[in-house]
Amino acid sequence: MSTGLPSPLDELVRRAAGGRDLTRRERADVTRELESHFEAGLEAGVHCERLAAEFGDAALAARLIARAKPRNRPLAQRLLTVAAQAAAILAVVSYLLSAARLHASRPFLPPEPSQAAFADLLSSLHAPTRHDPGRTLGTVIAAYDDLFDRVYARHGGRLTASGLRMIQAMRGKSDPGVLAIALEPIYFALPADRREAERELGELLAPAITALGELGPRAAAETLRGELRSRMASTAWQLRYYPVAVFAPEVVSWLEAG
Amino acid sequence: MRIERELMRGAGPVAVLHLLAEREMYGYELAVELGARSGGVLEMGHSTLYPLLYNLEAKGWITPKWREADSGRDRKYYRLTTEGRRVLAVRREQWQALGAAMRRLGVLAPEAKR
Repeated sequence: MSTGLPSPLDELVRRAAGGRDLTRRERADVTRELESHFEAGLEAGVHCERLAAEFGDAALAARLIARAKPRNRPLAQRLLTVAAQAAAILAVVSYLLSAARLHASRPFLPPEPSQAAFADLLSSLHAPTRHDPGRTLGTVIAAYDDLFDRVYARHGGRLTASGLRMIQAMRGKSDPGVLAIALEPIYFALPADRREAERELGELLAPAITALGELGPRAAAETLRGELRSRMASTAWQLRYYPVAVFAPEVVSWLEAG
Repeated sequence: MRIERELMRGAGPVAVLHLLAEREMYGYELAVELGARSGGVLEMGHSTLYPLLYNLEAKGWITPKWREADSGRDRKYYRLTTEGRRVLAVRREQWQALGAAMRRLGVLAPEAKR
C-alpha cells in the first residue's frame, strides 16, 4: 500500500514497518507514524534525500521495531503467543521423539508378512477345540506372540516402524507413501509397549474364553465381538493397541468358523 | 562527535524522558530537539528513535496519543507517565552521581564555578 510520500521515503516506510513479527494492526500503526514523521520533515522544508539520510538504515529499523513493538501487546496476547510458540516447539519435539522411538529399534523377529499373516497363522496352529478353552486360548496367544515378535522391539518391547509397515503389508498396503510414513509418528505417538499389549489382549480375550468353555465358540465369538466393539469405539485405544486391535476381528471370524 | 552505542544506550532514554517531561512531542519533533539541544551529540538515526519510544512505552514510562497538530495533520504525541517521571528522577540522580565520580577521578574536567 502506498503512503502518498515521495517514493524513496515511501520505500523506507514500507521496509521499516515490514517486520514479519508485527501484527497487521501494529504494522499499520508503525506505517502511519513513520508516514507522519516524514510528512513533518517535508513540512519543515527538509529535502527528501536528507530525510532519508537522517532516518538511517531501514533494515536495522525493521529489526528493532519488530522487536520493540510487540512488547506493547496486552499481557494476555503475549502469554497466548508464548503459549502457542511453546506448543509448536513441544509438538515438533514430540514428533521427533516419536519418530526416533519408532525407527530406532528393530523387532524381535524379522517382519515377514507372508509368514506372519495372522489368519494363516491361526489356522496353521491347533484347530479350536470346543471343549478345551485352554488350547483355544493358547492358539490365539501363539498367533499373537508370533505377530508381536515381528512388531515389537527385542529390548524394551517398543513398537517399531518396520513392524507397523509389516502390518500394513498384511492388510494389502505394501507400498506406503512418504506421507503415510511421515504421519506414523503422529498416529502412533503413544503406543503401548509389548507387555501392555499382552495384558490388554489377555483382558480382551478372558470373557470370550469363559464363554467358549460354557456356551461354545459362537457365544465366544459374540462375546469377543462385544468386548471389541466397546474398545474400538475409542480411536485412542485402536492406535495404542494397534497390533491387538487390527487382528482381533480375525480371531472373531476364526472362533465363528469353530 | 560520535558517541559510542553503549553510551547512547544509557543516555538516549534519559534524554528522551527529559524532553518529554517538558512537554509532549511527536517523533520528528523529538528527533530534531534531541539533535539541536545536545549540540548534535545525542543526535540519533531517526530509525532508532522509534524502537526506543516503543520500548519506553512498553515499560509504561511514556504513553502515546494520536491527535491533530497545529498543521492540521495527525501526529502521534508522546507524553511522560507518572512512572516515567519517577524513573527520570532516579536516572537523573544516577547521572549526576556518575558525573561527580568522573570529575573526582579526573576523567571529566571540574565544573566551572558559577
